Amino acid sequence: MHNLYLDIQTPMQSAHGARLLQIKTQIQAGSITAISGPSGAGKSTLLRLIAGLNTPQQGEIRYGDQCWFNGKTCVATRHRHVGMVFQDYALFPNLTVRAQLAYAQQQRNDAQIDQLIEQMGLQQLASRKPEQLSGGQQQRVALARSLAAEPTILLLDEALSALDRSLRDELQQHLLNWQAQSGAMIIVVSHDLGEIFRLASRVIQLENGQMIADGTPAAVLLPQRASGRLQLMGTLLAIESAGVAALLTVACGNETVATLVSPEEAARYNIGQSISLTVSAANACVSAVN
Amino acid sequence: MLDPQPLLLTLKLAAHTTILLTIVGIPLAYWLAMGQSRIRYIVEVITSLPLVLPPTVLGFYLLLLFSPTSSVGGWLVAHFNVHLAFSYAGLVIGSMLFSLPFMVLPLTSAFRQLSPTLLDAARTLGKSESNILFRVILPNCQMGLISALILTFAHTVGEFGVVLMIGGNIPGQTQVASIALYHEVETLNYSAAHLYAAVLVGFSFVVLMALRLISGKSRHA
Repeated sequence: MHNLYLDIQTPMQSAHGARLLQIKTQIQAGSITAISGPSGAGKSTLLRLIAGLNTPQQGEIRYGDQCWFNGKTCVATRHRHVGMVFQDYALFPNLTVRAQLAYAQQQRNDAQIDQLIEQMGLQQLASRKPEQLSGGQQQRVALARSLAAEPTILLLDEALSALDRSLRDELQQHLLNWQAQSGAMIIVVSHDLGEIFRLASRVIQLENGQMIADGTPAAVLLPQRASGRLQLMGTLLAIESAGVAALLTVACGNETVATLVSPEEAARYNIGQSISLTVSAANACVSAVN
Repeated sequence: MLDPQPLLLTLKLAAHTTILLTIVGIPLAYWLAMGQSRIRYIVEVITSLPLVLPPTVLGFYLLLLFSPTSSVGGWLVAHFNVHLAFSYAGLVIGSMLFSLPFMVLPLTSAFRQLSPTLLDAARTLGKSESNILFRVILPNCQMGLISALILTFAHTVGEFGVVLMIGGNIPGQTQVASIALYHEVETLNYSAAHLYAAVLVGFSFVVLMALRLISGKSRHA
């Protein structure tokens, strides 16, 4: 297991036109690093450069003392042992779930396939083809397939985005276990704050092809001082007079809440109006959600 | 009575042409679909030329090329004692060139329709390009491959101009069904001509029907 050294300058096409992707950093062996940033920032391009699917215009990519790219030589993707889970899953339409995993293996190992199928909850789907799977199921197969190849670097391009909360939690735990066991390096593109905080020890934030922040998730993603108040946006549904006070009923997201205000204040609002409710976070009740 | 020899020779020629074109056509189509080189546009146009050229034009140039008095034909005769003009081997080469677009174009279009991330995914799984061709690309282009095989075979069965120019009308060697039909008409033997014509019509109908069924099946799959 080695460190990955990147020093890349390469043009890329984004929604905002041509941009230069400039990255210079080193990623620790056995670490989990998250890449975050708006779409078009260069996150997927960066993963493709590491995998060798794109070639940078200039710079250097080194894995330990192996040179993967230095402007003259370029090591082919298949010699890099870099696994990747693609945003569109990229499952082979002609193969069943089990056959996808078998194809990924360097050496046939049925026990490993059985284990992956069980860990990813794919037992009922093992003999199905991709067209018979939902998006979330395809994403699990894509992840299982990349693990079956036993990569030394695993690149995840929003690999858990199509899964519901509980399955996502389960697979995050599975990835952490796999990483601890294999000692592989994981680089994950994610927009999900919970996922980044749970998995990654480091976040690189990209914008317009440049690294704008780099550090622990807490240092990069948490604001300098958390706000003590919580603001909710809602729609005023009803105003009822209750003697010395008025009762406002407000729809906030999927919930309807009621609050008391003075009659004078209630007179300033109209039914159907967008209003904001500000509550103190100091007296919030906290509980775990399963 | 109908002489079966031209029909058998036609099937043999179509089989040889299809097998050899499969071997040549798959790498060519792969290069046309996936390659980066700019000259592939020119090669694609050249590949398509037999679609629009009169077959006699192709036959004429091949005849000149194969002739023992030309440099290529003379070299082949001098070094290998191979005579391509008015021979079965020459016929196979002519048919391959004439049917080239029917093999290469359906394959190229099928290869282009594949999602490029499928190939990327196979590369990240450590697979070589030839492994990807046989394990990922071809199995997911089955309909394109079957169409290409059927069209090539059928088109070779139906060729006339190229065969007449470079093969002539030598029974058992270059006299294919379409030539035999022409020959029977010339000698006013209409009953034999009718039989050859009916066999060719029946064959073409079956081939197009098979293609229709296959493409219908893939659409409903």
